Amino acid sequence: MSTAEAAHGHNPDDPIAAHHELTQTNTGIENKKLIMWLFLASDCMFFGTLISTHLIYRKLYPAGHFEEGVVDVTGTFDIELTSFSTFILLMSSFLMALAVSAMHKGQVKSFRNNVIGVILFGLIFLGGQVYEFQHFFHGQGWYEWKAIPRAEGTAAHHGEAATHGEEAVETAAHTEGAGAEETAAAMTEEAASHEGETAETAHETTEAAMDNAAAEGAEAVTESEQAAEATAEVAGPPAESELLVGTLGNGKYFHDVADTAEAKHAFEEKHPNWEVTEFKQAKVVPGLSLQNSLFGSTFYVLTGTHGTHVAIGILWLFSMLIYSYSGRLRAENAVDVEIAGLYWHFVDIVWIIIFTAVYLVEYVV
Amino acid sequence: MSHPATYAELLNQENQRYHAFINLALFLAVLTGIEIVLIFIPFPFWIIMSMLVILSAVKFVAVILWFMHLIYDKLLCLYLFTAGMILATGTMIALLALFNNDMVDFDAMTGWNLPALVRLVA
Repeated sequence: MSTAEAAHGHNPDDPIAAHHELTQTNTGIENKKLIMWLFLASDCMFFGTLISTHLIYRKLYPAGHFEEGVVDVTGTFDIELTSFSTFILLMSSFLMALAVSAMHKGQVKSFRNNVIGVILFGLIFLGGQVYEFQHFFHGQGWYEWKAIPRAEGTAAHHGEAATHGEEAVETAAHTEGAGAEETAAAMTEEAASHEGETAETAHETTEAAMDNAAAEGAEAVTESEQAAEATAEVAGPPAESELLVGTLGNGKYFHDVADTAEAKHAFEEKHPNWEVTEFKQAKVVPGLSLQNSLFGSTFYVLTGTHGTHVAIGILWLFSMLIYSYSGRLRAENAVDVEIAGLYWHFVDIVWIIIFTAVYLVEYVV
Repeated sequence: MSHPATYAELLNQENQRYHAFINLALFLAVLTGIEIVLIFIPFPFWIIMSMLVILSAVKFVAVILWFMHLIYDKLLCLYLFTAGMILATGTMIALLALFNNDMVDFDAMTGWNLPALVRLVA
């Protein structure tokens, strides 16, 4: 008998002997496993009351926003992201089942690979939840904007027109209405058509554009005049950006913060070559916090508690992964892995209920 | 289910489970996809809700039976977990039924309207 066998009473690498050793209890079930099942049964009641609380308050206070009015739940939720998170958590459960199976067979390397997958999937789920919470907390808004290209860009290089075109397309990507898409497409075409013009015709276009700018306001005209002067000093064909001076752009802009001033600032930072003349809210979904609505309170507490369970599961599995590299995680520890697996699967089944009771139900009219 | 007596039997058992796990993972992914599609179908409310509840219950039971090994383990584990589930579901049903009672003035209760609370208790 080896030293390890002498210490354990059996060969620690022999899964059969290890199982027989551990199940010598009155119930025939490993004690640790029995306690885990009891814990999970009690945790069922814990989540049951949290889910009930959420559903009850949702029914009693459908317009549960104290400060901002009715909570736009489907506007706040991002069902694509949540569905992806659900899928990720289900697949992590699958990998966890494989990890437990591998440990039962005494295949530590396979266990490690699967557990790494579970941890990664768990982190993706948590990342999604953090993103979601941040998104919900700040709210979101769709803003209508009107802007003209800045005159400062006149002395810029040839590639700037393309930049304007890209900006227009990018803005169109955030646009809900077809009208703005058309505008963006027209702007792109304009930028492209100017690219082929000669220097002479380009100057004519600049003048025409300046006339347009005059209609938009004296300030824009002044900037256009300055731009034209600057262009005159530049040798060679004029830059395309100057040809857009005075061209009015408009569209819709999405920003993940329900604050007009902040959204405008972000828009201006994203499009430094555009001078915003008008920026207003088209639709806004206010931020959701623990304090400003009952829906927010119950939603954050319920999903936050679940997220905490996921985080604990990740830490648990990570510690097991590290422990496995010490060489002390053997077939006889399969029951420890199984217990961690039970916890992880429980987190998964709770999410199955939350996904339906909290998210999907909101979309059913 | 009896535990395998030899390592070869154990390997065989785990390999069978491996295939069951793969099938179950695919099954769960499909069910989740169906759930997401369902909410956008213009069916009556009660049909969609019933289907969502059934699909969730199927997913829930499938995970606890196969992934959590309840189908392979001793029945005591199943009894323990079922006891917790019954208590939790009973509590949920009781709470939802209680708060579905339109005779109770919940606004007054949440606003700490003491006379209303007293009347309710009395």
